[in-house]
Amino acid sequence: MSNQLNLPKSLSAKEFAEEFSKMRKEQTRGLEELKFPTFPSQDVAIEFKNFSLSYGEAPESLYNLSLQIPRNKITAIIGPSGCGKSTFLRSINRMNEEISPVKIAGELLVEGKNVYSPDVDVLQLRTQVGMIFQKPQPFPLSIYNNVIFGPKIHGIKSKAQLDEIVQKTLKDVGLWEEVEQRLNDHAYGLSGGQQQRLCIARALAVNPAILLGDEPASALDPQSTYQIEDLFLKLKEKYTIVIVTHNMQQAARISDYCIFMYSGNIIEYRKTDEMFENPHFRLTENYISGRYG
Amino acid sequence: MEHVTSEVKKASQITSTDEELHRRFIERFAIVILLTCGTLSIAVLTATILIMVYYGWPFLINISRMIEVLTSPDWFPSDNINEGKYGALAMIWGSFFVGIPAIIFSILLGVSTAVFLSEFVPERITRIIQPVLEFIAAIPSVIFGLITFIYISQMLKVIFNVPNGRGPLAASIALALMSFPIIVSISIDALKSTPNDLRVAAKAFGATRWEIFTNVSFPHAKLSIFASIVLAFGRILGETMVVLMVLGNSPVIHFDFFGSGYTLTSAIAVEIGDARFGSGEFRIIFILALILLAISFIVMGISNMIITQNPYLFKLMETIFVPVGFIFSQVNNFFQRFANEVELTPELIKRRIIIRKARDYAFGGFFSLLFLAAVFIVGYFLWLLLRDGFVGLSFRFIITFPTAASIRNGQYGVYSAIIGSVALVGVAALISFPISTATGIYLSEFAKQNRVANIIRVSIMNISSIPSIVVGLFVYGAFSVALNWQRGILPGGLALGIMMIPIITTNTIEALRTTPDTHRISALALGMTNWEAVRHHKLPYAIPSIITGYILAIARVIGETAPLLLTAVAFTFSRSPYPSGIIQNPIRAMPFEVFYNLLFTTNQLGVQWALNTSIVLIALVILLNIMAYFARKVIRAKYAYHGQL
Repeated sequence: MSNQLNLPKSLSAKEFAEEFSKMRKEQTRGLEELKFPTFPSQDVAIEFKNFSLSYGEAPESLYNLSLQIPRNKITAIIGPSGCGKSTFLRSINRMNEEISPVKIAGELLVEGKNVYSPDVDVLQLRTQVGMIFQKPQPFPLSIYNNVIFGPKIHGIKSKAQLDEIVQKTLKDVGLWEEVEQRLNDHAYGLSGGQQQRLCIARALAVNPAILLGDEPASALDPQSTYQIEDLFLKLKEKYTIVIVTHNMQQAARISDYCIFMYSGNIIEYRKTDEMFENPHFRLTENYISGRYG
Repeated sequence: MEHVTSEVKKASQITSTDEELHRRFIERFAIVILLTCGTLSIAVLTATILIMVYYGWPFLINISRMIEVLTSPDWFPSDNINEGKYGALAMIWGSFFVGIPAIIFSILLGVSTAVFLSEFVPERITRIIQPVLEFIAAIPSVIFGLITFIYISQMLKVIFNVPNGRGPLAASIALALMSFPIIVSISIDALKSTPNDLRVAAKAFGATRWEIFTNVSFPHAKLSIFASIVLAFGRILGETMVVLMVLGNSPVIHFDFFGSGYTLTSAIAVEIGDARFGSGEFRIIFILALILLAISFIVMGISNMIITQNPYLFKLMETIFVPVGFIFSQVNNFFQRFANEVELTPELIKRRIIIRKARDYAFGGFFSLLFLAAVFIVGYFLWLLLRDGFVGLSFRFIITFPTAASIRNGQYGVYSAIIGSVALVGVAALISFPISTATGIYLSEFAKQNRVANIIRVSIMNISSIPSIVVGLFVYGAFSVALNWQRGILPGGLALGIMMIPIITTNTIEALRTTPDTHRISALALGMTNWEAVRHHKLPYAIPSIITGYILAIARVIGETAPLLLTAVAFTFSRSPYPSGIIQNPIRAMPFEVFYNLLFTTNQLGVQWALNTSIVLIALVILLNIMAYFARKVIRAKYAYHGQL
């Protein structure tokens, strides 16, 4: 990662925020100050309030984030490697804690509830917030058992109901016609793109409110990527979708809002087409135009 | 263009110089030597089977006799094979009557421990506990025999209020404690090899540890877990010392867990003692060994077929389980029909979470209890052994050479046994180290996928599955009787050496496999022969692990007793602690000293003697394991690899 700002490479998110505030004027090319989009409270799915996160004793990985993510929209997170995109995403369903102990400051509200308050159960939270990973991760089970993994652990036992869930979710992800005849085959027999759609179906089967995608199409071929993107565009009618992507074109194609992150800070957050047409900061412009990354 | 052509011409003019021909010859010579060592293991396996067939031939060609052997419980062997009764059903029965409860206990303890350590506790705790399990696996079988004979039977006597706690139940418990570390180590490796991404994906669903186990890591690891169970069963059926010491050795068939019994292994050990060469009694023993060999090979084959996902085995299992699966699915469907349709509401999810967490803790608790039980039971008996074993133990015990006269004065010691064990292990090492290392190097570096190499691999796998008593019987039949070597450190060391072959070979292969290959490739690119490249740029980095393997192999065989009974040990005192020859000069050995004094030295002295010797033996095994640890550290520093991995 080439450093665009002539700053030392190993700045913590907090130090970067301080340095960046000094050069704001110069960076904005004299444009007026940019405000993050705000939404009426019933349209806010996720809200960060002065949220900071650090792993163990290390300096902050995310520093003082405040923003609102709208309901039933696709929000894309872009930024160079190591800028904290994945940490940002994983803090929403508290998956960061599975990697190492974390320290939190501020609040993160999902559907109006602070997910880091002590009375929140991560098991409950993670049924509300589904997640799709970079590489398809079907469990070593049959296609059918993969889809009903979630419903089954939540106590749905009725065969008819499970069948219905499988059929509905597989139809939602456009996989039903392809696998209808072989639901009891092992999931590893599917192609990469099919596996990823199976994983999305598996996540949808528990009716989450929010879907997180951690570069969900980056390990797939162009055809499968197209299918997944198409699927997300359809799913946003029912779900709030947040994806991390390395692919600028993808962000431009499918997202409604776009977050540009750098060194654990959010530099720009606005409507996608606005950002891609007229980036506010030089840093954003250089990244979007592929001058570093 | 001109320039390129001339270069090509130059290249085509390259011919071998004398020096290169010489190096090629050296390489070929080295490969021939390595291959010869490799084929020796094929020879050992073939010879073992042939010796059994050769001595058992009069039975094998007589079909009615063979039917009698396999189906009749009457055991009255006689001198003449045309007289007497040779029914071995009681021994086969005994092997399974002890073996099946043992494997059930072993699965309970082993699978629970593996699941608990890999799924329910953090990695660092697993790393602390694994050496403890390795230590349990390293305890010699004769020590388990002694523990069973004295402590386990005493405990059962109190619990079940029986006159004498010895018998099949006591033996099963001991065999389970001996074999569960096999299941644990293989199953933990398999469970831990579940891709971490899959676990993370399941956690992103809010799955509990139990749900991750049932849906993710168990489906991933189940084949290895089954294979480990089959392997452990093979080890249980081939074990001699425990059953020999606590079963009472009489050929009867019954369901009494405290009665007496006989197994194939203990029958071989006992009956060979008074069988005259060439008699019917002598020959039937080799038939028993053949049965045992067949069982071991089948068990090994099955476990291998499970790992390699043999399609025929899987078809067979499917066919067998069709009715079971059908019933299961019908029952499942029956209940599913009555299950209510429910809405996935947050309230339901919340209620379910309480149940799911309770279930998670319940299973975690269950596994941890069985794990703690396993460690506690072994620890408790070891503590009893230490408590009693240190009584009267002094340095004098180690340097005292026991004779009939000194015993009368109450003086006994382990000096001659230490000398004997060291001599035996030394001979075994001399025979086995070069052969096995060469085989390992050949298989890992020079044999690709050719047929000879595959046969060597299969042979080594099968040698590892041969019960130790059968190895002893092979050396006994091939050398002690046929060549009139009788008992001594050469035949005894030979038997131990054969047992070391698979341990060292697999360890050498593993050591070379985990050594970086980059230096060898660079050396090849500089025009070295493969032999030179391996010799100078691969082998040195593998030496620490190879030497560690030597020490661990010694630790494994120094506690072996069963083969020594037939090939090495003296049942009487000799005049000198030092053997005056390598054949026809029986010696004492430490594990044998434990066995013999516990059972045949008739007074309290014998028990104390056995206990003291056990402590020395355990201390030696621990010492060897510590040495292996430090050898790895010290030598690794010397041959440190400075490249990038």
